[in-house]
Amino acid sequence: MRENDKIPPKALAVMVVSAIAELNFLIAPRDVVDAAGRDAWLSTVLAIVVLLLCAGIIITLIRRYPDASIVEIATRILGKPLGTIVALSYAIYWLARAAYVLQAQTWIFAQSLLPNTPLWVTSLYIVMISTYTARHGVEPMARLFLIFIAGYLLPLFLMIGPSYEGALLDRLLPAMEDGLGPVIKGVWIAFSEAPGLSILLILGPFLTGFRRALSSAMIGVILVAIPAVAVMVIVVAQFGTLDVVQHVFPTLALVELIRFPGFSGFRVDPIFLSVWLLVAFTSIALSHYAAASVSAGLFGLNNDKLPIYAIAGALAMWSLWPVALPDLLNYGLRVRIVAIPVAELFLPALLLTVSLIRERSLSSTSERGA
Amino acid sequence: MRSKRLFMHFTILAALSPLLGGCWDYVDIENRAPVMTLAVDFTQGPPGGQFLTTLEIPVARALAEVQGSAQQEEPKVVIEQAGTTLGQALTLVNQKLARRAVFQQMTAILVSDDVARKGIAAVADHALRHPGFNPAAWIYVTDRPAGAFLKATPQFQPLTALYLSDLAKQFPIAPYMARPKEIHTFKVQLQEGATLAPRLTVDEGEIRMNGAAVFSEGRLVGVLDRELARGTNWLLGDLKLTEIAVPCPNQPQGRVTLLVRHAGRSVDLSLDTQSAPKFRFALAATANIIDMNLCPIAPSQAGTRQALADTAAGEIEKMVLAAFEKAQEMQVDYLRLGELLRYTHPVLWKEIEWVKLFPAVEAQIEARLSILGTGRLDQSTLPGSDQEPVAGFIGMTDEVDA
Repeated sequence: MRENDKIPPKALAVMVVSAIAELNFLIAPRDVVDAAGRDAWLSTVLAIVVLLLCAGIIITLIRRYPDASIVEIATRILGKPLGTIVALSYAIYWLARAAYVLQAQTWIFAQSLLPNTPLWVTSLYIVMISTYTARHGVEPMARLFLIFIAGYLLPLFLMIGPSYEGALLDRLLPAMEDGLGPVIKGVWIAFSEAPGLSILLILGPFLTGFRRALSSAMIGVILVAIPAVAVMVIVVAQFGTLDVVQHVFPTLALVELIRFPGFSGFRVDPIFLSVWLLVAFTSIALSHYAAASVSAGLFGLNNDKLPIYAIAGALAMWSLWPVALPDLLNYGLRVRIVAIPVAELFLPALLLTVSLIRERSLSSTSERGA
Repeated sequence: MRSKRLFMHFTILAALSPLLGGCWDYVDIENRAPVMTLAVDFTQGPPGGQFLTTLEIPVARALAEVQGSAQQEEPKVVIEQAGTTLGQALTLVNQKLARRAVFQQMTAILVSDDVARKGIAAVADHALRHPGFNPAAWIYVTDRPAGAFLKATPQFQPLTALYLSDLAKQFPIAPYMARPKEIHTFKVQLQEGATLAPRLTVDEGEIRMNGAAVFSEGRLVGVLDRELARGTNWLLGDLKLTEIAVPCPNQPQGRVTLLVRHAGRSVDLSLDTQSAPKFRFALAATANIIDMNLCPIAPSQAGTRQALADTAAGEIEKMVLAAFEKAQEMQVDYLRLGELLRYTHPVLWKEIEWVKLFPAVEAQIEARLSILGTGRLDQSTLPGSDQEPVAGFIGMTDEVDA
């Protein structure tokens, strides 16, 4: 970590948005609607509550170990063997996440914008840019991603207005027709579509302080949440549940219908997609950096330069693995619904709980000693 | 050292530039053939496959050509290609073109009556599946081979695509057809039960949008004429503006024409265990008098206006009820009443068979009209008010009836 590589707590909002907002905006509506039907919007709202809970848990945890990396936090709480396993799991998790988003992004590029360009060309370009970004550290990344946030919010808000025409809100009714079961399943799926908060685990040592860190993280979650719920409502109101589950990327199908009066034949979907893929890139770069940062801690390195290149190599190799898009999405979902709740909620909750228990037992021991 | 590193970075970037993603997909604009309209028919027997597709491709140079030049080039290329599927035909068409056919800017898909009757899935699936296709292209059903519409040169416009686009824009002021819709929206509605598409006909040698093609279970199952289409648009809430010609209160042979603006629509459902569901449509509209040449009354008087408004409301109710009964007669719920029942009474919805129940449901139509303006004149004072009205003055409704 560089001496001056520090970010204010306010920057956590930017990092949270950059970490969470990725291709899930294109993919998630189908999976959540498939699970929750018309109540997909309700599941999304409830999933956001869980996300806010996660943010609370992780910020509380890193605040207790302000200058410690995730490797140090895990080993201090769980001991060296278990702590190392936890830290290694996170390194693999972030590497896998970066690889998944990279492959999905490459596929979307190939399918929608560059059908004749070999997949590996697009992948390698993204890996190179991600490496370049990660090499500069957390503070430059935060500054860069702040610009990209406009790229995340602007297309969504531009899309919401024109998409209202033809949307029928009765397609969202009746609510909870099949009871609470599908809604709960939808919450699980929606939560599993929004990984990224675990990135906060590596950011503790980079913060100039923790005052308002939690509120910043929550603002980040809400900045993702509002368009996520809006997209879910509009996609279902426009297409109905039967159609949404038939589309690989329902949000993209929605954008393809947008027309601006006076611009006959002008399609906005290539612009939307280009900007949106830029946003997805931030998740890749952050996960890339996080995996490298943990690897550096695990190997006791002072500098993350070598791990960043090593992770870049691993990403490049992973991206060369030929996976069909349906397999990527289907198997990806099966893995995500287990891995993401574990990495984003259960492990941080476990670390925090054990930490609190140990602290309590330590204080009661010292009280007895006194 | 720093300049050396900069030089190295620059060299690497320069070396990588030929690999930039766009190079593989770059097609010069002069090598593209943007398809504006697609027509889908069945082949008439010669080998080649089941579907006959016809494409309308503009010739930019000819479109830009100054009128009156010695040699006028055709403004469009119309090309046909058969295939066992639409996807195959539209890929094979490239063998007949010196340029690459691209479909991203396509604005219209014309489907012939016989293709639509066999099933629209063949068209919808390709249109929504192929990433190169424009899912926002509007769908129309033709009363004759669809390809013929592309071969014709329409009024005002050199391209059928532009002409259809202009006709579709007339919908808000001439709602005698189904509201034009994108193929994606069409497919969504069809999947939910039934939907309508505008119907293209040829009248006096010109392409017209007349009435509606009714789709159910993925197929064309019937047709609505212009008046039924207008009544259906009232029921669906799609109607914005239309005209109504009503008899003159004092002079039965005279007519008063009102320009009616839709002001609101609500549908209530009442359920009674003893009888079939009853749907109550409340339609609200405002109107301005635009023609009362043969009617010697003074519409500035509130009572006169009210009498006219009531008569017009009665006409609307008759028109709308006829459209409702037509849907029941066809046993196709393109009015989305089943959807209303589904989300207001989900338990009942699961117990009933809507397709069987729909023809028996009752409808109550209540139209409320307010005449807000009489135009620049009050009472008609020109001579001739007591004469027989001539056909040209009696408004579109009568012309259609005739």
